[in-house]
Amino acid sequence: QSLKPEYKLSVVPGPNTAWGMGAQRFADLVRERTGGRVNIKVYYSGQLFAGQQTNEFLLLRRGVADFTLSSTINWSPQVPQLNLFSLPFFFADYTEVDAVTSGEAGRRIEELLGKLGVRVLGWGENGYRELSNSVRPVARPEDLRGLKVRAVGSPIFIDTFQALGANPVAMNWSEAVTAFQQGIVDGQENPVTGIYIPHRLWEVHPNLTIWHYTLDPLLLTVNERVWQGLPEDLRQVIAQAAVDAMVYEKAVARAGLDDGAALATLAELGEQVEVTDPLGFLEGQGVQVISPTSEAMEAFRKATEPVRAKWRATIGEDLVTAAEADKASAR
Amino acid sequence: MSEWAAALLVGSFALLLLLRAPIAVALGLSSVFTIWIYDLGIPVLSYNVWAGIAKFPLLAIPFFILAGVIMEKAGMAGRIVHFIRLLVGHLPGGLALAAVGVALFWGAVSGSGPATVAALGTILIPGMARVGYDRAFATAVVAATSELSIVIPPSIALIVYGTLTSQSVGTLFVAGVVPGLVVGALLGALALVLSIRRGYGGEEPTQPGQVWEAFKEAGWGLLAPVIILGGIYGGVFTPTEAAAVAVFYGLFVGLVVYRSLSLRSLYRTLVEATISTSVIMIVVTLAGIFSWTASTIGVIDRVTQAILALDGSPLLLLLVLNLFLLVVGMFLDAISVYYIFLPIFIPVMAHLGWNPIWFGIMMTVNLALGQITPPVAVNLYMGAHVAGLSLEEVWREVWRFAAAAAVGLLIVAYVPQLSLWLPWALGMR
Amino acid sequence: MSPLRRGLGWLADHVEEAIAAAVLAVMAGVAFVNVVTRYLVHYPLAFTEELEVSLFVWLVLLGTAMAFRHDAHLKVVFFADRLPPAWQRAVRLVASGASLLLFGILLVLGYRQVADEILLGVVTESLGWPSWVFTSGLPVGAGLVGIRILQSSWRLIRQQGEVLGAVEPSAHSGDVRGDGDPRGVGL
Ligand code: NA
Ligand code: NA
Repeated sequence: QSLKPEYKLSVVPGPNTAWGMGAQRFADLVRERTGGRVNIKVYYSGQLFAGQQTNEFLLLRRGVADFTLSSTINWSPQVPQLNLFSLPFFFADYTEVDAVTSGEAGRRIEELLGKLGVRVLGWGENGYRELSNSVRPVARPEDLRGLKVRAVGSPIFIDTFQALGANPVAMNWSEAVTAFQQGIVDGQENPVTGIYIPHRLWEVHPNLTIWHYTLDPLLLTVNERVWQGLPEDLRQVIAQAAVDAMVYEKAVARAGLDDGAALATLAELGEQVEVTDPLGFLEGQGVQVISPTSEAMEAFRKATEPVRAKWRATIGEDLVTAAEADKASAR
Repeated sequence: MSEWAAALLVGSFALLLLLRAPIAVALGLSSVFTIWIYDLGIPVLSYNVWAGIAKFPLLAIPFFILAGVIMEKAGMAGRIVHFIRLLVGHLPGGLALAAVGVALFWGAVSGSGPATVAALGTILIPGMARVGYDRAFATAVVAATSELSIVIPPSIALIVYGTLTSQSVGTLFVAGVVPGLVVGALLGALALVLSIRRGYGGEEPTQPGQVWEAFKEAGWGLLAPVIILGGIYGGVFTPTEAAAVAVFYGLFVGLVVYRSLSLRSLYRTLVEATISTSVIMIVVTLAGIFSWTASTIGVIDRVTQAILALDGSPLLLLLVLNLFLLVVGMFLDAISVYYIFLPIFIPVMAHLGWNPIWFGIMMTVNLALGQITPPVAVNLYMGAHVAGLSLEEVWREVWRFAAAAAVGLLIVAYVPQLSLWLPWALGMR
Repeated sequence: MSPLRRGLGWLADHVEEAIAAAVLAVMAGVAFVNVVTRYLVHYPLAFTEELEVSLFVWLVLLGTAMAFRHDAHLKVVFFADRLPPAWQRAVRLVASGASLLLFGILLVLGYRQVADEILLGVVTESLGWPSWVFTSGLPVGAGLVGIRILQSSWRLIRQQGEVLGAVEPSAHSGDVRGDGDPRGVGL
C-alpha cells in the first residue's frame, strides 16, 4: 500500500474558528503520531468545493476530498436523516446532545454513512444556533412575527421560521452580510462563538436570543476507499487522533457556554481561548442578551410542534425514536 | 510536486491560448490536464462549473447586460448622443468632448466596455467623421473612454471582484464613481487639446429651443442611471435588484414611451444578451477551476509567500504590481485576471493592511486600460469593427489615450482617498 | 421546402437560442416580481433564488453553445492569425479539438454527477426538488456545445480555399455576427 504525498481535508469556515482549529489539530496530531508518514493538508473556507457547501458530501464520496470536518446541515440534502439535529427545540442541553451522538442514534448515522462510502472518525461541534436581529429583543414567539430572518438554505429551517411567524429568507452567506448592513434582512441564526463573534455581527444585530433551538454537530470523516488504502497500524493512530482532536474542538466551541467543563478540558490540554465568557463579552459590547423564560420556551416548542411532526417522517421514525431513547438515558 | 504541476498548468494554458483556443477553454482544459495527472479529483470539474455560475450576486451580470441592450435598442443611447451633441457640438473640439461625455454617461448605464463602444460607436464615429474628425481618432476617443464603463457603476468587473473578495458590490459601485470621473476628465482633456491642435471644427450652432427639445427627448435615458444608482446608494435595491429594475425600466421606455421596441426585436435582444452573458460567464466558471487547481497544487501559497518575503517598500510593490497587471492585461481579459491573481493578492492585501475597496477600484482601472492595449483589446476590437478600420490604425491614435489613462491609474493607485471618500461620506464602512 | 420542414430546420439550428431567450425572460421576470413583492407585499419569494441561479447555469451553457456557433468566444487571435493560411486552418482545428475535449469531459462528469444525485435522492436546498432536474443542465448543455463545435469544425474542413473567419451567414443574426463579432467580446 502506498501512501499519498498529501491528503486533503475540507472545512467550511476559516482557520480561526473552533471548527477550523479542530481540523488543524487533527492534521497536526496525525502528522506527529505517524512520524510524518501521513500528511494531511487542511483546505479552509470551503476552498475544495468552491463555495458550494452542499456539494461537500458528494465530492468526498468521489474522492476530491479525502477527509472532511463537516456540519450535518451541509450534508442534509444528500442524507436527509441528518436533519435530526435540525429538529427545532429537540436538544435541551449539551448532555442530551452528547447522549445522542455517542448513543444508538449516532451509531445508526455512522452505519448509514458507512453504507454510502463515508467513515465517521469522530464527532465535533459547531454549536447551538442562536437568533440575532436588528429590530427588537425576541423573548417570545410573538416577537418574531414578520421579522425577515436569513436562514440556512435548507427546507427544515424555512419550515421552522414560518411556523414561528417569521419571514425566512434563504440566502448565501456572502450576500447575507451585505443584506444585514443595508437592513434588507433583519436577523440571522448561527452559533455565537462560531459566527456571531468572529463576524462582529453585534454591530448590525444588537439583539441576541439564547434559545438553543437547534445545534449542528460536526462529523470528522474519511472516504472509505482512502481509509482502506491506509495500513492497519496507521488507521489506529489516525482514529485515535480524530477522537482526541474532537475533544479539543468541542471544548473550544463550548468554552464559556456550558457549566465550565469545556474550560476545564482546555486547561487540562494546556490550551486557551481568547474569549472565556462569550455572553459577558457581548454584553460589554452593548448587546442585549435575552434568555427566554421557561414559559416562553414552552411556547416556542409548541409553535414548532408541527415542524417536528412533519420532519420525523423524512428523518425516519426509528432514528428519531432512538435519539429520544438516548436523550432519556442521559437523564 | 508543485513546481512541475505549476509548469504543466501554466504551460498548457499558454500553449492553448497561442493555438487560438477560447480563453475559457484554455483555462478549463489546462486545469483538467493538471487535475488528472496529479490525481486531484477530476469529478470536481462538473461541481465547480455549476457552483461557479450559480452564485446569487452574479445574477446582476445578465440583468445589467440585458438592460444595456434593451436601452440601446430602445433608442436611449441615440437620444442622449443627440442632446449632448446639440449642447457642445458647435465648439471647436466640441464633438470629441461630447463623445467623452456621452461615453461616461453611458458607462453609468452599461457595465461592459465593448457594449458601450457598440452602443455609441455606430452613432458617434460616423458623426464625428462627417464634420472632419479623423475616423481613427474618433474611434480611439470612443474606445478609450468606454473602458471606464467597468469603473463607473454598474460594472460587471466590480460585481466579479466583489464576489471573489466578499466585498459589498454596492460599496464598490459607489467607490468607482470618482476615480471613473477623474480618469474620464484626463481623457476628455487630451481629446480636447488634440482636437483643437488639429483644427477639428464644430457643427452648425443650434437654437436653445432645439436643445430643450432634445433634452426632453433624452430625459428618459438621462433618468436611467439616476434610478439604477440612486436605488443602490439609497439602500432601496441590492445591485442584483437594481439590474432587474433597470431591465423593466428599459422595457417600459422602449415599449410604452418611445414605442421603438417590437416583440421581434425583444427576441433578438434576449438572444444577444444571452451570448454576451455566456461569453463572460463561461470564462468566470472555467477561470474558477483554474484558480481551484492553482490553489490546490499549492502554487498560490508559494507565490504569495514569495511576494510577502520581498519585504520591500509597499509603495514600490504597488508600482510593480500595477506594471505586472498592465502586461497581463495586454493578453487577458479582466475576469480571467481576477480569478487567476486575486487568490494571491487577497492575502497580500490583508498582510499590508490595504483597503480591499480601493484595491478593487485600482485593479479595475488597470484592467480597464487593458481593454485598449493590444493584442487582446476588446474595446479596440469592437471600435475597429464598428468603424471599419484595422486594429493597427486605431492603435496609432489610441496609444496617447492609453498613456493618459495610465497617468489616471497612478493617481488612483497612490491616492486611495479618491476611491474611499464617497463611500465613507455615505456611511459605508 | 414545406413550411413544416423549414420550421424544423430552423429549430435544429436555433433550439438553444429559443430556449435561452425564454429562460432569460423568465429569470428577469422572476427577479423583477421579487423586487416588487418585497416592497408591496413585504414577503419575499424565499425560493426564487435557487430557481434563478439554476436557470442561470442553463442559460450560460446554452449561450456558450450559441457563442461557439457564432465564433464569439474571447480568444487571442493575434499570433495564430499571422501564420500561413494552411497552418491557420490546422491551428483552428486543433483549438476546436481542445474545446470538444473539454466539453466532452464535462458531459461525462456532469452525467456522473446527475447519476450520483439520483442514486442518493439528493434534493435542492430550498425548493426540495430533486437536484438532477437542475443539474442535468450540465450534461445537456455540454452536449449541445459539443454539437455546435462539431458543426463549426465541419464547416471549416469544407471551406477549402475560402477566406478563413467567415462564418455561415445566418438570416436572423442582424446583430450577432460571426467571427470577431461585436457583442460577444467579454466585458
Ligand atoms: Na458602468
Ligand atoms: Na489588452
